[in-house]
Amino acid sequence: MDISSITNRTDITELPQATNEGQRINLGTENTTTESDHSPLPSNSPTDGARDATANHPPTHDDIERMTADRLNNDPEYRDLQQKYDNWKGLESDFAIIDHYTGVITDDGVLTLENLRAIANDPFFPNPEAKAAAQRLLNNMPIWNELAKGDNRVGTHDVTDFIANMKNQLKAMKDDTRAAVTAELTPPSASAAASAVPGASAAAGAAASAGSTGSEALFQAPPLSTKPGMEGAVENIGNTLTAIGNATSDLAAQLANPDLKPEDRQKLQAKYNELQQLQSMLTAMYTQIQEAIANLMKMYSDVAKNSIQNMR
Amino acid sequence: MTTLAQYIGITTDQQQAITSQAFDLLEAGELDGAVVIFNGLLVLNPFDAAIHAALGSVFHQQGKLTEALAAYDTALSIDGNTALARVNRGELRCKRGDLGGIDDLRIAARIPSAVQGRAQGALRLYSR
Repeated sequence: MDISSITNRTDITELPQATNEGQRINLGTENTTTESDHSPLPSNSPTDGARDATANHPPTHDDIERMTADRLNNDPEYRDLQQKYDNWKGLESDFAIIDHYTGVITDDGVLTLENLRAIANDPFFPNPEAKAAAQRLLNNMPIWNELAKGDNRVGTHDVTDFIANMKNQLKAMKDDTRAAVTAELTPPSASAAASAVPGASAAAGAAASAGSTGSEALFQAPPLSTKPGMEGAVENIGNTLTAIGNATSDLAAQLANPDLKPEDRQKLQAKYNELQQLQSMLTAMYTQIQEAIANLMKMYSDVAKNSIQNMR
Repeated sequence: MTTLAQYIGITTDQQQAITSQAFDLLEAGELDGAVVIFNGLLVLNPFDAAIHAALGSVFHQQGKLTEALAAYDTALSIDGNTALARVNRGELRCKRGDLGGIDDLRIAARIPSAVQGRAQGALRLYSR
């Protein structure tokens, strides 16, 4: 053994700590007397809570609504429209008050700017509530102008239609935002996929390029399994391994061609290596899952056998 | 970029079933088996921060601290709010005398998660 390969390791200084760390973690859970028993370190294992922390809880209705509201509150366009809508809802009642006390809208079907000014400026106008309402509308001339569209006449339906239109716009913006939030919260998430991941394994890199669409795909996408849960997962991975196997065979046949140009050979060889790496990782997982399922089946079978024996 | 999981049509519930299988192995003490499945899951989706963190925690449990740290670093480079990676990296760094670990614990202690209590406890301990 080449000792220099060990002594030259740059992480050699970590080894004593790493070893102690490992002992502390593993032995601490075994209730043996070690250095860890005298240390103030927490006895928690690094995998404590890992399952729950990793669980991909589907977003609840409340989560989606809260995130939608947050996002809308930060959208200036939505905020402006909401503000305008709130103002309008306040002024809508002013039209109703004026009509109630004067009947001008009911009589003519419209309220004119002259009507408004007459009510607001008449010192002897008998009803102060209608007078105040008229003044409020005059104080909000931009809103009046938007509604009157230049002819200084506002009909009953103009007000309700305008408010309904704003309400619909707000609802559409909210629906779009909610849909965007829901899509973002629904895995599989490849939101970070656009950026390179430092430290990601070579196999993961191969997986990423295998999965990328287009002519660079390493193999043809296999037929999809629509079965849910583990059954579908096993079927999909099995189909993928078959597809990778076929692609590998094709590549091997191409590589066997003696007339292949060196640069083409190099590219094909790189693809072949990537596929093999991918195949190896997926096969290991596939085998492990199958083994775990088999063990589970055996356990159920043993439990059933024991139950029957106990009954006898 | 499409992940391999998306390319071959692995659905969310199928991924969750595989993940659950890995945790079953982990809880049964079959750490090597869990590592194989977590690695496979990362082949399917290398951008899943939670799986990098889970893999790191198994390495951590096995005493493979360099690998564990690398996995936590990767998880946090994908998603800085991966609580499991934060708390475990924080504890690991603190135990090594690296005060940067306190920052990790502080962040983990603020993230609502299954390891939030652990993060808060560790933060109290190492902040003394």
